[in-house]
Amino acid sequence: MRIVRSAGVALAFLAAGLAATLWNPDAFSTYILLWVCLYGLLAVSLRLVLLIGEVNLATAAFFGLGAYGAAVATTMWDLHTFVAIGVGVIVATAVSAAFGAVTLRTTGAYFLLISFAFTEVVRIGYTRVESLGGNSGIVGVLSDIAWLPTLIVILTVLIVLGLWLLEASRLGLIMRAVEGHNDLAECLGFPTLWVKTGVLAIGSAVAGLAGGLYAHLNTVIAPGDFGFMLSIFAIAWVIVGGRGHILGAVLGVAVLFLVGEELRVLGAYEHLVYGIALIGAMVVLPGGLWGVGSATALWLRRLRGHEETNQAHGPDISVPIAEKETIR
Amino acid sequence: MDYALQIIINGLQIGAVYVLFAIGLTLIFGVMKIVNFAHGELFTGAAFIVLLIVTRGTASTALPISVMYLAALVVSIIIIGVAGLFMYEVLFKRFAGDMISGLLVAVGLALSLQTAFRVMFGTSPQRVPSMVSGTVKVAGAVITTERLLILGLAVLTTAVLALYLKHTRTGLALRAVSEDREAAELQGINYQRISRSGFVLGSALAAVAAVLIAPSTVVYPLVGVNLLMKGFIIIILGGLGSVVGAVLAGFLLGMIESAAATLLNVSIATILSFLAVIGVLLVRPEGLMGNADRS
Repeated sequence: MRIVRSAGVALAFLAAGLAATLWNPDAFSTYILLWVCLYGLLAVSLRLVLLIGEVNLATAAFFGLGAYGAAVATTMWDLHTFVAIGVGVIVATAVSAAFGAVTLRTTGAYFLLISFAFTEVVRIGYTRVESLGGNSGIVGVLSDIAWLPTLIVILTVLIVLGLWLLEASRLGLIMRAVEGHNDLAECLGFPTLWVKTGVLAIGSAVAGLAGGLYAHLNTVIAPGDFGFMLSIFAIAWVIVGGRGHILGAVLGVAVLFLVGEELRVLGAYEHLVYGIALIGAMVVLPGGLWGVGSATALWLRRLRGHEETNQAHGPDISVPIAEKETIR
Repeated sequence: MDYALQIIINGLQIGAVYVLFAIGLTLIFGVMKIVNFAHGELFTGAAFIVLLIVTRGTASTALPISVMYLAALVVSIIIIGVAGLFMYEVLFKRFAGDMISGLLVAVGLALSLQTAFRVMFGTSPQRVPSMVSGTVKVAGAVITTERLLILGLAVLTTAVLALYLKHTRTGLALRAVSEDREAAELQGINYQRISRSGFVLGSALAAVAAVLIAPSTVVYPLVGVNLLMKGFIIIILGGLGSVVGAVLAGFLLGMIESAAATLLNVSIATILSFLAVIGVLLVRPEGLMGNADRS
């Protein structure tokens, strides 16, 4: 039942996205849609790692590795765009697996701070390598695919759907176990370090893909695009949108990106918007915008006297356990 | 030979100021388990206070610059301490012990304050006049008097702080809470009061660090963020919550940076110090002086 419904939601998003990119590719609204897709991928990547309880501030670094990998493959090796983006994904995944195998032995604040430092070190690293264009980065990352905007929409919908299914799968349950009770999960025989490293690698593959697409959409990349501030923005998207559901992350991107664009006319107040939104979300709305929506939906259903909830269709594993307890 | 001595003294001076900044971060983490991303903004705020008092003061009065620096020190400690108290009471108190929520609030605060500084003071870097001019010769190496003075003051502050943490009731309570909050509370320690003291003390240390660094650098709205990265590396390297670890790691980082800046390049220093962190984590995941039980 839930699968059918979410497939329906995915198809609706897909249809709307295809219509926008095919019929009106140059409109401002299409431009907004594409950025929401790319940043949405970044947000769901960060959220995936948040599901195992770690704040991955290196999301921006893996986004950057994907972008640099793809840009090098396109401009220096003259590979086809599809292959080039694949190269970016491989670079991001491989580096994240190595990074995770070392750093995920630590948890909490240690992992957070190391991932922060990693992002800055990688960014500084780009500026020092002359063949990568140093401070000015790489220009002329041209795409061979005329329908790149459409591709971005399709990939985003598929990946969000895929990650949603992953979350509801057996691996999703193991991830929850690792998040709340790492030692207990280890006692049950789950290789927790490998689960965590695998989750980080999957998340980073998504970030790397977003990076490769970003490089080809923007055609120019520079080290400054991949600083830790991008990771901070990704956190804001996930938290303000609501971390309880994967679409909350996408919602957060859409809302904050639109507000940021509107305010750009007034000057660089983007940081202030993100700052206030983060504080506001933590103090007033810990469930984010998505949490408000789902609480309202539940309230409306109760009001109409429908006592049947999702439980009629088997266990609803897409709702985090802590949230389920408060609903009951 | 005198080259090496110059590197060592520069490294000690850089390290000593890093230590002050990082002890504040690690104290706040120790008592509240919050990674205070807004610590850099406390530093920036104090640096702007120094800039205002020293430049305006020397322009409008005939008092010597050392008096101005003393005034800047006192005023910035008071203002930043009060700002820290305010931040604690309004925002951080309710998130004590909740690492992710505390982090997010701190990030939000940092972003907002950065914008505020930019609106108030503009983005262009501004130079603060030197405390003292001139150089001294130490065993053949030429050292600016200012560097020696900063080093002396920073070491003095760290020593006073160490004595405070070792011998006063509040200091002991801070360390007890940092090591094991529940056990400390069972001994009758008032957690609220101690975590408030820890937060205010940490904030005041950011102000002291700012007063000492200001004359040797330029002041701009993102000056604190750039220091924050170094603060983070120091507190992981030393072990989160460990004051002794922060002192060791701070001087180590200062030495790496001083050597790399003289022999190679400043940005190489950042990469080297990150590699040092990864190396230490491979051997000791809890940092040099960290507590093995990090739950």
